[in-house]
Amino acid sequence: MNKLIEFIGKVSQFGSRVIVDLFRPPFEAAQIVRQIAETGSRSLPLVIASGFALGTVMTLHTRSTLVMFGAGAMIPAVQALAFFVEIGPLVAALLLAGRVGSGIGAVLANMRATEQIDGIESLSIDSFKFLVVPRVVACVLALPLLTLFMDFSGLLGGYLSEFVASRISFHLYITRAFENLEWSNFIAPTFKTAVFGFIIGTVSSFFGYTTNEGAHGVGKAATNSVVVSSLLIILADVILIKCIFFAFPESAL
Amino acid sequence: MNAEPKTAVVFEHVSKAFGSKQVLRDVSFEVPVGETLCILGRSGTGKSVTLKLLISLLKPDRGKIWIEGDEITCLKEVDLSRVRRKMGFLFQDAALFDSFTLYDNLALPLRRLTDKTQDEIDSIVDKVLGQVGLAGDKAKMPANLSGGMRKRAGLARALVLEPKFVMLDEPTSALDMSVQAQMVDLLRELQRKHNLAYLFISHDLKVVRALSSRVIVMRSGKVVEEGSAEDIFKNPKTAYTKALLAAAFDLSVVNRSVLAS
Repeated sequence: MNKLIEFIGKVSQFGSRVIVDLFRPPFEAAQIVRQIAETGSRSLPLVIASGFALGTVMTLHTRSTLVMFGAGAMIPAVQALAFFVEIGPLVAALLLAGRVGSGIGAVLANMRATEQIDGIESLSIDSFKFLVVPRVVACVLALPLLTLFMDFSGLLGGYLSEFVASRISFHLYITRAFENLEWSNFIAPTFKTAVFGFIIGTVSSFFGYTTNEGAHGVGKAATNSVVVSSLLIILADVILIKCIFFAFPESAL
Repeated sequence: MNAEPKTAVVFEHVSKAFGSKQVLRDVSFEVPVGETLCILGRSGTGKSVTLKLLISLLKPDRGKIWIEGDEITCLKEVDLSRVRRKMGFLFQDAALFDSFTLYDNLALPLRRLTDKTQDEIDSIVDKVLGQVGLAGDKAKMPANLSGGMRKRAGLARALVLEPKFVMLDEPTSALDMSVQAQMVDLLRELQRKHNLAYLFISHDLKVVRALSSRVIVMRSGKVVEEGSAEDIFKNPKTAYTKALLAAAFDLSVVNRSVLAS
């Protein structure tokens, strides 16, 4: 229990330092752009493919039940609501935790093991600002965008699945999908992924940056980054959903 | 009457422990400008910790450290940054940034720590890479460099801010004999050209003898013997130093022209 409290304290301190250093010059714009490219664009194929597959499969699973109750016309709305409110944000975050979180943990741990971080410090460059802050910022900015791609590729997958079954037109599918969707169903869940991005960036950087176990620490940092980020994302999701329901009561209906 | 040489580094009664393990015990030494001090000793005697204390990656528990007149143990981060610019550090494995090209590795400190224009940065990087014999390799990634090239690239990065004091952590480790000899020649040439002070650690007695003007011998975090390289190699006083020197091999007998061919 003591170790858990100590860990929470250390990660919180680490995260606070990220926020403070973010607003302290020099601003690492070039590094942030570089990390967004690394985090965002290279995760895009995985996110789009996963969203498309999930959208297709979800329609296949829900269609028979909805048609049985005469609610076949609700399929696009169910699909859109499920993706925009929960599936898109959560799955995109878990995918990013797997792909990018492990990468951040392993890269920083390797840099620590091979004295690259000491090398940066020896050049009078703040290694935390140079290596950690841009990675966290990249995760925070990239995840909401990746979530949008996940949402729309999920809708597209759902449409193709529904088109095969009922020959529905794309225009009608989209009209029905967005008919009952409120802005609060879209904005708040999408922006909660910025919090997930902060969790992924901070936790993964923490494990990589603070390791001191040499080569063994690289694998350990990668694994811990994925496991702890994923757990914290799920935990944060529950808390944020409660907050969203509190701020937008209509979205709870 | 000759004036005393300016001192690049003073290490005064420094002690350092990690938990219950005492790594350095009351260690003192000086490195005058233009000279080379070698710290000799077996693994785990506190040599690398000494270098990390000098560059303020670690703080001493006791004692004081001066770099070119600045006492660094009580400096704030901003002032430390200014002092660090006076030093270069060649890490054991060069510690080049994997994700940067050789050019970017050298340009980074110039971009971050100086007001130089892009043209000036290009010119300095080209000049320093030329000095270490890597002029044509600036677009290469560190992973594509051989062991000897990586060491030379690490040395180039250590020199790019034109320091007067350079620390070398095992500058010739993991290099074959011909590359070792080239590295030693290069270090001597750069020292002569820029009046550099070197502090280096090495297990390789051939290199120590070839490069050092003074030597301190460390054992279990303590200095057990100190003197000119000549004295230490010819008249070692402690049994520990004698045992260390028993494996000595004189690099001067290596025929560079034969090896280079």
